[in-house]
Amino acid sequence: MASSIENNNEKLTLKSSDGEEFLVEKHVALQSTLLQNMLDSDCSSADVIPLPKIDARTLALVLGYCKKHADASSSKQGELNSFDSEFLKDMDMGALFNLVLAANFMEIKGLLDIAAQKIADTIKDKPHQEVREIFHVENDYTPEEEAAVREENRWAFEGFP
Amino acid sequence: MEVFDVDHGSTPSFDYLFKDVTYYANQSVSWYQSLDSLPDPSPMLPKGGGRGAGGQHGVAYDALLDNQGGDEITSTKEENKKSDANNKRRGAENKVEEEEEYWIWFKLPRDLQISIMRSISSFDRDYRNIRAVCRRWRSLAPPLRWIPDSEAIRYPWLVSFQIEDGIFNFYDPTSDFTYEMNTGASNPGILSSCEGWLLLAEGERSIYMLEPFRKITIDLPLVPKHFDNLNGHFFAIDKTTTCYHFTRINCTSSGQLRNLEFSSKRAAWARYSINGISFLSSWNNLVIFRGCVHCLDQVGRLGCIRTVGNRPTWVVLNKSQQLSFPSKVWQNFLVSFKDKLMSVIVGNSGGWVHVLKFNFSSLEWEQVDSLENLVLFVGRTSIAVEAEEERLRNKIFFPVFKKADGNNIIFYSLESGRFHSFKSENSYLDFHDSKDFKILSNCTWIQPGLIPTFR
Repeated sequence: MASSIENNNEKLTLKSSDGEEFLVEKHVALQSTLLQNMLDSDCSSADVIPLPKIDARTLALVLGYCKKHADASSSKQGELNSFDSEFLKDMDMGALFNLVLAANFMEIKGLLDIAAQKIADTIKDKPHQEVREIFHVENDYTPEEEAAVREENRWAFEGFP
Repeated sequence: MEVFDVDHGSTPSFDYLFKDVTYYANQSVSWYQSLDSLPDPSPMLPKGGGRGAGGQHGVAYDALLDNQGGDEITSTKEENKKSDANNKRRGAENKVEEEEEYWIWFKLPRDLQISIMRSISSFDRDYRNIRAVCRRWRSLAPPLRWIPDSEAIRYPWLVSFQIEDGIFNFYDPTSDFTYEMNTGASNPGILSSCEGWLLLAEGERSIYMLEPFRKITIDLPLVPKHFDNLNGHFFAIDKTTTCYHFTRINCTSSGQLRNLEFSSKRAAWARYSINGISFLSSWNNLVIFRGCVHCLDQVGRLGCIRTVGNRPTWVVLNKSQQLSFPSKVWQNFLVSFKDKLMSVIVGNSGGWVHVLKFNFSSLEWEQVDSLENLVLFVGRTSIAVEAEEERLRNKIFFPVFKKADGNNIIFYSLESGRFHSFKSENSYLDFHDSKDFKILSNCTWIQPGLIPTFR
């Protein structure tokens, strides 16, 4: 633990896909397993770490999340939970998708979980036609197949031995 | 109490009753075989999956499919359709390219798609919608497999029978989803349920048990001749590991209390008549509590049949207590939970609802103001469950539906003193108006001994 306190003031630079640089405290960056592994494997913290898949807008959001979670002590779980729900509130689907991709790439499990759950929640209580529109998914079922899938729900126990 | 007569019938095959269900538990059988014969967009996906095949993200077969590209969907349907679909898909992609920076679902890696799908509970109706979206979504959400599991489904379903279609409906009140099942029954009277079994009557004397989820039927000997029509009567089922026991208590027009019993041990019906006791059994379910059948009368007296020595004896526990209610009692229900015996007493059309708890020391009913974390499902079989979800706590579900908003079940909240439904902000003082509410009569709550799973 002593070393992490010692390193508290160390900073590293992350570079987004669109070339913007972010100066980040090391303990904040450690929220990301990817960055943690890079630092552990002796990448110099003086280097700029490029994140070619993440744009500046998304990276700013990700780092905001990491900072909150790195700074909060474990006793403040309730506060973190309300931060999490507030953090994703009103976020549009495009931003959510970028966030999921970024959290997946940077291996930030907590953020990945809440963003995935938030996307899943948008499916809630919506008919499948509407879900197709929201997610821009094309219906590639033949009418017969689609009818069969719907019947699947109707006759739920029919095939049970 | 006198034994009137004993009617011996043929011995039913009780082997089925006690068959070890672990055999089923170890199988995960897809319940909709014909769907699996549809062309699968991901040919490497093992058909039928298997229990425990799925992990959080790192499912073996998922990893294989990780790099599945956008154009890899193959269909075994006619080639024409396929190329049509491809053209359409290309069209769709062009559109996306035009809208720069716009996201599309299939840009997400497959393991992310799967983890998003897995965030949706298999108990939710939304899960069932996923499979209807498109082929690839269908492959992301494997068909639910129903595995026998006595612990899995926390809340009971309401089972009713649709005469027009000849099918059973199983309504899950927590997800507002109805499952349907055809068993070939013509017009069964639903009498009672116990641990996933239904007690059903066809006609006046024929009675049988049905385990609807595995479709096991046990025919019971005909009910003794010259006995009242079974339909509309209540039965208590006592299930132990070695036998089943049904009891019915009814009151003849001359005020005589009668008790009809069936025991699988003897494979025979027995009926008793209880003389000289004024006990007008009311329209309510019977309940087995501490091994005895309990029954309420119209003024809240609690009768029970105890076995003293070898003889069943009738006892009224709260002889002296007089209960008074705001108006005439419409229905009352008995429901037990662990060491608690409660009754739910309902005025006409739900105009008032009282919950009482029986105090076995003072032998009196006591008013209950809050059920705390319990949720009650009352009807021909009444079931109490400790609710995990806040929205279900301190509520009572009746087999009553609000016709607007797609036929939703209504429930009484002890906190608000009103009836509510999950689909609407409105609340109701009662369910008097038959234009707005539908009361199901031929139905009962059943605890499904199954779990839907895709893991």
